[in-house]
Amino acid sequence: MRAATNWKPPAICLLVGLALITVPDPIASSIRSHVIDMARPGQQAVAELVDRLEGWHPLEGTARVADNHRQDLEAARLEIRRLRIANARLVERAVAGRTDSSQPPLITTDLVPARVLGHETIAAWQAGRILDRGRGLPVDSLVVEPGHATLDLGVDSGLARGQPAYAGRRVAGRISRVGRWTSTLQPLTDTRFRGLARLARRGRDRPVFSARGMLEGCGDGFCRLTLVPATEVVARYDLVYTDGRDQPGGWPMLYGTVVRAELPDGAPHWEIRIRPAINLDELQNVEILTRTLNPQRSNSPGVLAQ
Amino acid sequence: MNPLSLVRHLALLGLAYAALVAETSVVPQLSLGGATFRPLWIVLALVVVGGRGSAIVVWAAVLGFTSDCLRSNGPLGLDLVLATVAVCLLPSEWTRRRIHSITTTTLTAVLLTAGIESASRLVRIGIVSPNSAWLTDTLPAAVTGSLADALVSSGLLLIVLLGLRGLHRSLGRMLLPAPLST
Repeated sequence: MRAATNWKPPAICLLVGLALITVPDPIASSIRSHVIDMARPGQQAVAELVDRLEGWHPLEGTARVADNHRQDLEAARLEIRRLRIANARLVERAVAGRTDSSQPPLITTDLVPARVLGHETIAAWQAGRILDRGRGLPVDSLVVEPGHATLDLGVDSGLARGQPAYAGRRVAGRISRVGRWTSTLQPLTDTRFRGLARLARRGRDRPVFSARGMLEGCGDGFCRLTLVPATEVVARYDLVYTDGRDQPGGWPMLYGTVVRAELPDGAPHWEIRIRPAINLDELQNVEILTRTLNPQRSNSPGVLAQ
Repeated sequence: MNPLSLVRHLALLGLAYAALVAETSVVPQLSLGGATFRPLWIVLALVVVGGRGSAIVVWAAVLGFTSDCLRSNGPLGLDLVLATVAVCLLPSEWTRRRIHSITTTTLTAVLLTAGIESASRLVRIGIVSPNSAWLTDTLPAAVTGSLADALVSSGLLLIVLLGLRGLHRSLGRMLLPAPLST
């Protein structure tokens, strides 16, 4: 510093400093707060800059285009969904119009609920330990088949041999023997079980059906699907539904899921292994599909009678 | 006042404000191995090498007062006094004319930061816990910590100045007309 002439500014600054040192704490705190508050605009600018740097992307233009495409795709998806819903409504209306014919159906179907008898109940029945109050519960009226579940409904409830049994929307098997009060259920895994089947892939709102075939029980807890041509597309986890016109409610029932699909060289058909959708060991209730003649039709005079 | 000098002071004012913002927003989030980056003393070093005469003292007082306000303990005018004394104790060759040497600028930053910080810490600790051996107890830690702060701050300043000089040279080469080839 130029010594003699410039002593005033340092002296003034030192005096100011010394004066500030003597300032009481509340005033000093107030001054500190005001000075720090002055930095607030700059701090906000720094925070905005940091946010922009974090959100900045070199391919922002491309991202914007991709965002537009994503919006278009979402709109297209919504339109497809709307059309699907409209299509489903039209199909329902068409089915309803088809069924609402002038004549009621000749055959009506009904699902009769039945319980699976447990081993203890069967043993007690066979031992004659069930109280029948004199109504007659002979041992030979109990229908039992090895490996088949016994149901607590029989001829009295309209059950007959060959009627399909379901658990919910899954196929459990069919009635194999019928007694007066009981019947046996042939599970779908039984070696003598046969049923028309149809493969399906999982769709967004309903299964997409493809090839038809014949489902057969393997006897080892699994089934196989035969007669599916080699030209069809089969994959694991495809679903197997019942096929045919006589579906309860017009909807197919589920047999199971494809767990293995092989196409040997030169073979005309797939070898498909199916895991049943139902756990037969834990089966407690089933519904048996019964068909009866529609009384409205049977009471009305026929065409030939007129 | 010379218009260029006014622009220079405005630029220093902007730098001082940037240092204040950095001290309150960026510096607390920096982790430099225990050392603290002190932008205010960097600005003071730039004032010393870029200014002349009594303006340096006034700027030292302003920056010292700002540093006082950023500290939560101790008297308010302590850094003001220390910064004023520090610039007065610098060699007169550094404050009489502008300096364009990066080495001198860095050295100024080291001296100012280490001197002001160590003295400020010692005094503040002595005020908070006055005992007979406070100087011997706190001097090594205060000096070591202040020196670390000074080295970190001046190191960053050196990197920035070297980068600016490289940029300046590159721009100078680009703006020079290309020699005609024979």
